[in-house]
Amino acid sequence: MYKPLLAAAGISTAVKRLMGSSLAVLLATAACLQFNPAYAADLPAFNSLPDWSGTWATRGGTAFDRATWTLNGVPADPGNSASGVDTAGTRAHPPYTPEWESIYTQNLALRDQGRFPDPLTSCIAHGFPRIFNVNWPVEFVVRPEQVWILAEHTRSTMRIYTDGSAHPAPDVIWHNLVGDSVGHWEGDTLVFTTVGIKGWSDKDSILDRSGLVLSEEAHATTRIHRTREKNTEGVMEDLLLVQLTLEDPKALTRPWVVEKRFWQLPPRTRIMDYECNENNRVVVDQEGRSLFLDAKGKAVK
Amino acid sequence: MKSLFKLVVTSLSVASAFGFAQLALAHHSTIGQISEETTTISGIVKEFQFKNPHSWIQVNVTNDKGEVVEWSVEWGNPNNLIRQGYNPSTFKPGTAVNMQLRQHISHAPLGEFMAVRFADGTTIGKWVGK
Repeated sequence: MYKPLLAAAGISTAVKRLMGSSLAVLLATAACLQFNPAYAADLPAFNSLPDWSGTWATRGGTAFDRATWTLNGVPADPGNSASGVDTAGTRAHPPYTPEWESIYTQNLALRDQGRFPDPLTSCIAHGFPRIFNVNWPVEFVVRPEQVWILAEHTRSTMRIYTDGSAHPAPDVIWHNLVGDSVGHWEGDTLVFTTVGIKGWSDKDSILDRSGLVLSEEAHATTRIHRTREKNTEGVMEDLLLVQLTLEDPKALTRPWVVEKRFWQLPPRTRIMDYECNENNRVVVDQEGRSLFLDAKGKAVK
Repeated sequence: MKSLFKLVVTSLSVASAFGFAQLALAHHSTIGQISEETTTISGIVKEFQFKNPHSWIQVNVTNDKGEVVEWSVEWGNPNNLIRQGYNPSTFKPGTAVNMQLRQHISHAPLGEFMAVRFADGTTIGKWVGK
């Protein structure tokens, strides 16, 4: 019945089709929200949710633990902007148990030899929580029943259910790279817990290139909210502050709190396709080294 | 780590001009594989592999023996490059280039891109020396 109104308003056929399609989607969504019991109650109104639109990128480098960040084996200077290290956020040495401290120390040594087998080099997705710790940009899609984090790297999507869902029971949970996340809104702050994470080796979850790992028993509570802070040039910036509390009964002696910040890229910055395996000319050998492939596809040693 | 660091810093310096100073991407480690020295080659672009995870510029270089050797020069992640204003036509096949890179320590014809200078003087990256 809206068509005569559009015609009277002189709106073109193409626009009418577009509006018709949009209206159909809206009506279908409304019907879903109205009649699907899972979405019926206790969901926040869409217009009450914060605006996290745009494209965002991690502020600072890609290590949670700057205390051990090195350049050619030499500790990096957080005060030196050229080192790629900034001082924002709380980053401290993870409170490892002695066993996992030993694993970490070994990984750090491998890293400094160029032999830490980073899954990213083999085009494995970063998963959670490393999704907050890589330099590829992300988008946040905020909906009443879910929040999606759409990552450029390997086209990963992380879904955070805010529809009242609970985590699966521990005996049936399927561990995967992004885990299982459920949460809720506290005002403009998204709060969610994540369980069921793992690394590509099935043994651990790799948090960054330094070799920082947690066990498959790791779980996290994450709080994300929008904030404004001055950057290193003293200019106020819109940021998303991610506060992670990581707990791991096997690897950590106490909860480990870390922060990461996302800054907003210029308007209309697009997320691009990222098929990492399209032309990956680096292979990881049995010693963990990343070897280049030459023009004929032969590994260069 | 230093080589990786330098790769990242190179990306940072290129990216800064486009407002993506914090968006340098690194997909792999190059520790212990890339020389610290700058190598300059002159040749003809054979192919620009504008593909993920890293772009590669294939350059045919004629050596002292008159043989044509295909060099592989790794550049940035194409997603990041396109956000900085580059595109698949930045290196057109058949284009004459002078290119600076850090070569693989094995002396294989492979390295990491530092800068290019085209025939008209247009330069991308930080050219070392004259």
